[in-house]
Amino acid sequence: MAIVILSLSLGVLYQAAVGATRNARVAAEYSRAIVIAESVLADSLSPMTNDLSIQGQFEDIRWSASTRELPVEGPSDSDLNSANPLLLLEVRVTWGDEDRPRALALSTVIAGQVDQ
Amino acid sequence: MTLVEVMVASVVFAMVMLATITAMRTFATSYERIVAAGAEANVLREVSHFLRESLRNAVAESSNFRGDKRQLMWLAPLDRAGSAGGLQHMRLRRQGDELILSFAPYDSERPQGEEPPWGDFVADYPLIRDVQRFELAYKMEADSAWVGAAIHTLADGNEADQVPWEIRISIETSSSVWPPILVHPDAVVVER
Repeated sequence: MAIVILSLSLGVLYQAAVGATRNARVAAEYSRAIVIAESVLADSLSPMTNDLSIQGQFEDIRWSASTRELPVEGPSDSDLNSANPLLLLEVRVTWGDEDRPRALALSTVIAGQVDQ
Repeated sequence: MTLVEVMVASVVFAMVMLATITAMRTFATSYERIVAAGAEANVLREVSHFLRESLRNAVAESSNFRGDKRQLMWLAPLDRAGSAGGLQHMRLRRQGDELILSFAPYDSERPQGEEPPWGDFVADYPLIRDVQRFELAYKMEADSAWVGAAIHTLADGNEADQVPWEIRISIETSSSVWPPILVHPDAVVVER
């Protein structure tokens, strides 16, 4: 009986230790993914990126960045938007295996290229 | 109590002790891994956040910015780090296995070209303690290639320091290769 209780207790403790280790690893992966996302965001701030669609990989972390014109409502705003468009820049970072994929996304608004 | 009972009890006791010790050792190893992974993630988060924020706020004056492959000097406001605060010259470079951040307070009366008094007021601070590789690169214009020095060529053919469009910081520690830290300075102007 004592052995059964001991084995159950150790099993629970073991699961807790494995879970804590996994959580620490996932937190570290998120930290790396955020650094990548912020770097891609900084690298994509050029105003000449109206139709940006790029992707890449750092170790086992994949990233992609794209821009699309931000729709602005109202006639006067539309005129302004066509003259100097605002773009939504989105950066998406994915990693992990197929069973447990992980992802994060950052976005910002940048000034688009003005057509001459 | 017979001899057989004593032996059975001893074997059971030995098994229980073995299981307990093995479990304790596993927990100790797991704890060390968690602490190490947490510390490494913390350093990555803090260093990348600090460098990104500070370099984004770098003052856009060529006289207060200098960068090559191995070290970077810039002027930026600093909230407070130790006893350093306000507008500070900062210098990032590798010294041995450490990535060192040096401070020198901004002095508007200091002659241009004179080296700031690094470390005279605030001691150097090691940002990372086990650096194996540290390299800087610069993109001088949005669509230009990465180069190893933040300089541009003047019309007369001479070269001068210039705050770049983008800065890339590559760091490798003994345990991992960091993702490159890319920063786009915001061209901050200081009113005097």
